[in-house]
Amino acid sequence: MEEKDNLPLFSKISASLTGFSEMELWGTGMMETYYNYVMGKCGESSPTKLDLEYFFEKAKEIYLGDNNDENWIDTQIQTWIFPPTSYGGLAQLIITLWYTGNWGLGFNGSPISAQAYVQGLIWNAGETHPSGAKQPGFGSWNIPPINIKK
Amino acid sequence: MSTYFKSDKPRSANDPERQKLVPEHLMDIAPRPDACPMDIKTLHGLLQYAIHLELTTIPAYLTTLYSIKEGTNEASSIICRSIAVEEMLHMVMAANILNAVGGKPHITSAETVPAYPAELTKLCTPFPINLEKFSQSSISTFMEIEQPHALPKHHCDKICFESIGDFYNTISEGMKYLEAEASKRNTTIFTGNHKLQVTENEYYGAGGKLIAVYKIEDALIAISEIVGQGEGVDGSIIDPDSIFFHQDVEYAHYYRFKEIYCGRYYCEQDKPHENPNGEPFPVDWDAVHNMQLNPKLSDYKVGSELWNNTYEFNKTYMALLENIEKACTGNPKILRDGIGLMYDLKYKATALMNMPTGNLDNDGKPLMAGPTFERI
Repeated sequence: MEEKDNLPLFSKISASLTGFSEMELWGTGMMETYYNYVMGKCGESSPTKLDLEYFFEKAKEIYLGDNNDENWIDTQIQTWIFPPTSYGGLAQLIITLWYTGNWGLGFNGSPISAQAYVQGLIWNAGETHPSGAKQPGFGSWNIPPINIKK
Repeated sequence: MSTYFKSDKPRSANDPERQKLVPEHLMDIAPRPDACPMDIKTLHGLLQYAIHLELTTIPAYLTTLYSIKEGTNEASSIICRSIAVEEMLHMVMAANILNAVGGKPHITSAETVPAYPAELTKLCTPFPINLEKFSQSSISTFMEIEQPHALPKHHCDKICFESIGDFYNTISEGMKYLEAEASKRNTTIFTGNHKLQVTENEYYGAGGKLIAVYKIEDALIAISEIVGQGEGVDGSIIDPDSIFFHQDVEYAHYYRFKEIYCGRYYCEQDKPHENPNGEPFPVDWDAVHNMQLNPKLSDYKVGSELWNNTYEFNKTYMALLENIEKACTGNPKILRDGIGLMYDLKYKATALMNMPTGNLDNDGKPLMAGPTFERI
């Protein structure tokens, strides 16, 4: 199997797991980096290469099957992909990766790159910004946050 | 080099020392004997067009800047950023002059906000200005915008301008003529409320000094700075600002874009018509987001993710322009609140450039979305 084959699936599953849209995730510029990282990291210990393979098999079944109903997809994700016991806890690792840029949970984690820290979804989710990296402008603490609504 | 460079103090517009450094013909407030008559309405129109002209360049330069991938093309990024920031300064200075002569600047109007590809229709030979990724094509367009030209032969039946320098020279000559006519009647064209001026207190730190305009001398200095930063003054590659404001020697825009094009800095001994002969620096034309040319909101299905993100970008852009308009029409202090919007605009633009459109370029590479800078 080509290394990049599962990138579109990784994008879909990432969106389901994080609650951000696929485009928002692409917008971070981290999609391919994270995909490659996960592909390389699985097999070092747990999750194993086999976990990874079955993970994508299941994802293919869910996303590329005949049922396009979003609620059905969500239920399938919750039941098969999300539990920490599934596929060596891969879903949890992917969520943490997107939100914090870390590989590994709790104190064992560290950002996989400087950009991963900057692009962590926690900043967007918290409507704040990574300190020292994505400045909101001098003196902006003094004015209400910008919120451009449609 | 004079001892001026050893001074720590920036020179104010009225500083006699500084005025000595401005080429004399630029500071002569007397109109030429064969000056072309102009009325104040025409002058207002030209100054409003100057705002449009400066605003046309900013999104083009920013798009190219933001398309450069994080951590690459450092020298080119610094050059593009510094020029974009100077164009913002020029836009606000044009608004200052318009305010000073009793006009009212429009920043958000349909005539002011350009649609891309844009053309500067007052130029005799207009050419398309695109929202285009960092490439030899975009940089050569920018060189064309900033290209120095000798002023054309003086005549009064102009219907278009040979160059941006010619355009601004017409404004300078028009102001001199109008002010001379006014002073014959013991009055002045500089009737604008002083409180409308955006001063350096509101506009800090970036792109040279913002000149508040209260009289003809200020207006002429402001224009010589706009033209000097762009094309260079009197066949010099050096931006006169570096002399006025005690900055390190800095070259006019045309020459800085040419540095990127050639991947080499100018050095002090270089002549304007020559290619740069200074230190080389790396330019990686491939370390760039593969943004599609001149993206538009209407490229996407209403309500789709790409549409939503593009729409939000445009909303932010308009909020920024509204902020600048308010600042230039009576509330200069508000300008500072726009800084957050400028950063936000950058982050949104970069996000768009990471979003695949689903289309491929001629080499089969995926094309990305990008900032559309549309008036909505």
